[in-house]
Amino acid sequence: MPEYSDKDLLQMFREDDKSNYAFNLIIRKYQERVYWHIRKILLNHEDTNDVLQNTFIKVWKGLSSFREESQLYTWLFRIATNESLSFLKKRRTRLFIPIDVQDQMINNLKSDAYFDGGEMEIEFQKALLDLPAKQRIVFNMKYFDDMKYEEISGVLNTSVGALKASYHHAVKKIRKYLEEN
Amino acid sequence: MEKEKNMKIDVSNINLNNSFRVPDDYFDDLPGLIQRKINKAELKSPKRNIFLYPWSKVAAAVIVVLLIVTAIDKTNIFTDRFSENEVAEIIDNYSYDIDESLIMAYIEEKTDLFLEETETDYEMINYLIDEGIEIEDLIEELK
Repeated sequence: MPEYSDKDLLQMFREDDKSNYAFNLIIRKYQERVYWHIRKILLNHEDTNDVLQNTFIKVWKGLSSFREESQLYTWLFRIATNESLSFLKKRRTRLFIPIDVQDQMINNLKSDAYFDGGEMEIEFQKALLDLPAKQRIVFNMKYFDDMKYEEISGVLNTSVGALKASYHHAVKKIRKYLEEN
Repeated sequence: MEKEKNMKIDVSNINLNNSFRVPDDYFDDLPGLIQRKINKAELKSPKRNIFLYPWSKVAAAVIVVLLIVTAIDKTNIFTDRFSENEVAEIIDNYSYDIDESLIMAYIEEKTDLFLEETETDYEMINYLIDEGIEIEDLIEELK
């Protein structure tokens, strides 16, 4: 399959008879990166699958008005991030039983057929879940995806300085959690 | 150097990359699945002008006001005019199955205030994304 630039894909999308094909190529180009971004936030495959599909449906709805003021992947990640945060927020408001969302996420992770981690991995996820959701996202993007602060800034619409501070605090908190547990 | 060291966590004994998996062929099948969902949704609700219906205008207007209130925050103009119960009642009665994109289009079409800053759906979507606003959440919170 040819590898098209984002510019080519967007141009193709704007041609009526090629928009489905172009959109399909956009999904193929970015689905894995966006999937793993969401998966690190939600942990469970089934939840990630739902949010990923919703993300691309929103992308489909908004793509015709996308004016390339930001890069396509920045825009995709921004939608994916907000969809994930909305999902967590909805889950929080729907929980009527006295159980933390964090506990529920860990339980879901343990029962996830697509998670093979042991106790160490689960403890590490607990440490991450102890962070506020947005700080956890900053940590994931920097630590695991090795994204530049400038790129993260474009996705989260937060200043580079604030991101550096957030990441620094996240590292300290995670280290403290791991030392104590 | 010391600062750099402080930014690291020793996770060498934690195998994170191989802990998470996806079902076989997941990424091969996903584009088709999403495309089918979109096609199905478009067939199910063909493009129609829901603003022909009076209830939709009221609902859209309510949501426009909510968005304006959220945008300018801290000024209680909305709560000065309507009680929380009144808002909940209006939303209960008029907000079923409203498509966000149609609301955005309505906002763009009808409100000068938003037109000034958000000339297109894309900017409106970005505004909602930036602010983390979900129409469903707004409605849910006011119920």
